[in-house]
Amino acid sequence: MSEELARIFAECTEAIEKDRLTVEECLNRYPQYGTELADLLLVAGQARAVPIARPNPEFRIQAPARLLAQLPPRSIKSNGTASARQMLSLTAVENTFTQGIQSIQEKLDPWWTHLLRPKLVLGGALFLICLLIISLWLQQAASPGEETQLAQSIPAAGVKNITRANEAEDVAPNERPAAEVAVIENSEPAASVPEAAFSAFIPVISNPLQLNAQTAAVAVNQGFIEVQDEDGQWTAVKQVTAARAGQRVRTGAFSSATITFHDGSQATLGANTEISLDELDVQRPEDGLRTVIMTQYSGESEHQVDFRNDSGSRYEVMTPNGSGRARGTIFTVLVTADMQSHYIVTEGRVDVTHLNVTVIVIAGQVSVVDPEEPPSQPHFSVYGQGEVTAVGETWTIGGQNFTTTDSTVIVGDPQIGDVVSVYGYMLPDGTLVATHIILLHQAPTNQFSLTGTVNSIGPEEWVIAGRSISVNEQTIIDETLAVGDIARVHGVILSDSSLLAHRIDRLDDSHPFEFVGLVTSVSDDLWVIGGREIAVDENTEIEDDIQTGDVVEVEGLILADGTWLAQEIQLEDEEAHFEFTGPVESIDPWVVAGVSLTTDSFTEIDSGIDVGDLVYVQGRILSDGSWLASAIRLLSDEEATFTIIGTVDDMDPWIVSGVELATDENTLIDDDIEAGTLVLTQGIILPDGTLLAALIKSLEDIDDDAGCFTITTVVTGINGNKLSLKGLPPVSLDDDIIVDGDLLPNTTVSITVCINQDGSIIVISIIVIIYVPPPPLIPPVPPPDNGQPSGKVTICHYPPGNPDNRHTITVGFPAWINGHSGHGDTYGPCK
Amino acid sequence: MNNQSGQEDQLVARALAGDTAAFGSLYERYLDAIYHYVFYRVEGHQEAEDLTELVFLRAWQALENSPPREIPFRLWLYRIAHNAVVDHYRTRKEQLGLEAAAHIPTSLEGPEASLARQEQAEILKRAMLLLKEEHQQVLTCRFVVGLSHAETAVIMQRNEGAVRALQYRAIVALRSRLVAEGNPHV
Repeated sequence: MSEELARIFAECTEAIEKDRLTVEECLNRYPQYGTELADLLLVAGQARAVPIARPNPEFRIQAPARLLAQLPPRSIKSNGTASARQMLSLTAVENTFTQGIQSIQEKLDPWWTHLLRPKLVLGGALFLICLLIISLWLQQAASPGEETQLAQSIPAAGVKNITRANEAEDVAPNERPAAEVAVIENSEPAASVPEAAFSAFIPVISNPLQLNAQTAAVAVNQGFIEVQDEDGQWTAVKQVTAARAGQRVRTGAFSSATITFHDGSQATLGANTEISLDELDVQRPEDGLRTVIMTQYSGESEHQVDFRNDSGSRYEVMTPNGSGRARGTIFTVLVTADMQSHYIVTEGRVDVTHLNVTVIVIAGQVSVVDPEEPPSQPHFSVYGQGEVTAVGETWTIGGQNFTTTDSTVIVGDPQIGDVVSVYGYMLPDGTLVATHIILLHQAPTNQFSLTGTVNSIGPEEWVIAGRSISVNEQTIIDETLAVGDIARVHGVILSDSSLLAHRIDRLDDSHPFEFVGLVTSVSDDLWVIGGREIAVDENTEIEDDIQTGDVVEVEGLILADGTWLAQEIQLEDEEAHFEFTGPVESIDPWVVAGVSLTTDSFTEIDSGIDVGDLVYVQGRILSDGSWLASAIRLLSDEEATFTIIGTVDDMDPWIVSGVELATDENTLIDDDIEAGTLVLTQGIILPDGTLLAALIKSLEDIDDDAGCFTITTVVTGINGNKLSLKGLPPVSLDDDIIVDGDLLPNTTVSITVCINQDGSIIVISIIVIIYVPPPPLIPPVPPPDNGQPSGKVTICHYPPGNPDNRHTITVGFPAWINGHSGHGDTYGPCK
Repeated sequence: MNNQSGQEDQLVARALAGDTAAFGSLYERYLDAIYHYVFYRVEGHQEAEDLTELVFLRAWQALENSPPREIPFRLWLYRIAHNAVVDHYRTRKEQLGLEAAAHIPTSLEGPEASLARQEQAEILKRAMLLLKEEHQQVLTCRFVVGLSHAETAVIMQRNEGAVRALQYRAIVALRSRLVAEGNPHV
């Protein structure tokens, strides 16, 4: 019987795979095996339905370089192509860096920049370091030890050039003249392989960039970057350029650049930042000392400084009022508009000096330097995200009170009910001071969207799909709409349950878009704004004097061929936001109308969206250039549909935010809904105007937690399971709290807490980062980031079975504790 | 020979001749597929990434010594992936536990469906990892990767009949394992 069933099972699976039979048809064909066959087909179906696994973007970027570096050189066969080493060059940066970083940015959880950037810095650092190492390797490929191999590998045309490289053997590796790199670049064999083929893997040399102890590479991560030469002329950087002492670098709005020094240390500049490179003499550890001295005049920079075990090396970031000296440290420098300097240390220590007073700032701390004042004593940093319940001089965010100052940066005009991220520090008396408050997501309640036929148009009221929709002077309306057209409405439900439209758009082959972004390229028929190519034509209204580097608002239509055609471009200084309608091209990752979107836990995504569906998307363009969606709404141009987010007023009949809904036996309703529950409802609008819900889903999980915070503080005492913490209420240690490290008095800990809606506090984790005394310079565990209960650690990973391929990766703290640390991996980056 | 396979043959020929750029193109083409296969054969993302990298390294080495003959490059690559997985367990099994079991990637549906599918996939993967090695391989090839009986036979170096019989035994074993663990969906 089993043989027969095996044959039938194979036959059925094959037929189902080829769409020749359905499961039901197969079962009907073999009724004698009914249940047994059905069970097996069910399991096979489950195996077939597993999600597609894809490597993470950092791996995708870094692995090719790592792999190529490992490929053993082969003797060249008949068609005589170049060896791997010939293909490698620092100019790989030119072709891959921007894409790589952007790809990482698109994939990473887009929490606010302070928490995101360390990841980006690390990812970017790893990537650049990798490429720098490869570049060095390339240079060293011409050293005596490698020349024989190269000479064997390259046909006769290249031998002469390699011989020239041989003649330069007495030149130090980091001081090789430009001609030597050109030797490799110009060798004939490389030309025998089409250049396009290289770009798929590691690009061929096109414009080698010489880095040495006196130069640094300035690479564009995003936006508009300029370098000033000794004559004071500012020149835009296209992708990467070299800079020397005496030059300045500045970034525009929504822009970011990374400066990489000869020993791998890096400075990443945020938007609207300007620095000067004052002194540069960066010898590698084996060659001598490092001197990097720069002055930051504005904006924000993050530094990852290569550790030096000598007392003579310097890495200093001066500001108009202060200087920070680091040795093997990750830290951030912020210069505010009123010339206040903030030194925020993520790892290691920084000595902050001003007016002959020096304070030592260690991981998890921040020191603030006011003009004409010595540096403040270090404060512990705090960051997190949560719902705003009070605004003013003191904000309440996620149940925590934050004092604001004149220096507090508030982005996005957050209001009560909105969700924000906050970054700041804690004063000795426990007062929390916010340095940044960033709008993450507007309050989700009482929103609606609706798709249907326009029944009537009036100055104050439209009727669409049988529903009355109010409009006012703020409502954005597609002026071409007429009665009978299909329209999409997005708006709010007012307190009297009436619907007020924020915008009404036409749904046809072209779809509207609107966003605010940075202009990085201008030409007669094509602009680049916010990283997107925007077509302009004779009908596009363009405000005068717009130049590269300006921030503009652009409105237009996404045409059927995918072109984004601008109808209007005007200068704008508000937050970079976007909204548009378009087809879904991919869901994991999200790509809509050609735009790669990032999402986070606050993104509202309608259920049932498939590739090809028409969706309406809105969100913000982050400073790293990524497009973070706050909502992705499914639209239908075939029937009238609606979406409402609101609070349940009644369940019999269903009333949400005052709007009555019909339900039927097909309506999917979450079990845990009761009056007062925040819900998402979706459905269709019947010809008589009735809203028939297909789904009523609880959104309580969105704001179950009013917020989560990570606070660095000091253990002041322990009594049984009671933990006393400086500036915080006592904590009862129970089994649910993740504790890492020995909790002792004077221990500095990073504590992550979440606040429930009822105001109660749940401690998620307590991680010991420093035990004092004695104070180690580098804590074994970095503080949690991203508002999550556990942080990331950078480790040197030794792949099983391939230990020679050790490489630096970043993993979650639990993965380090539970897995990597026991498998031979080591803490910290590979040396 | 269609255009795509012709192009691939050219890439393989060039890679065979030592052209790393061509090999790079093949790498780009099959990275996701190999990762997907390996991911469902090992515990976690990290192992999957390590092994995926190793597969391509071995493929480069094997191109010189035992290049794909009379079988498509893709299937040849899966065969190397299979061997890499086997070697991985041979050397690492004692160190790994199912606690480290993989986080299944977020899927394409809405949140509830995605979550349910993710949970189901995790249960399935855990159960599969407890099966005999050849059962894991045939199930991964046939259902997770979606290869045909014939393609699976090439990778496993068996005839199609043997694969059909083996897949039946494997699916029965998998179902038993799921039932034993109280999976409500079988």
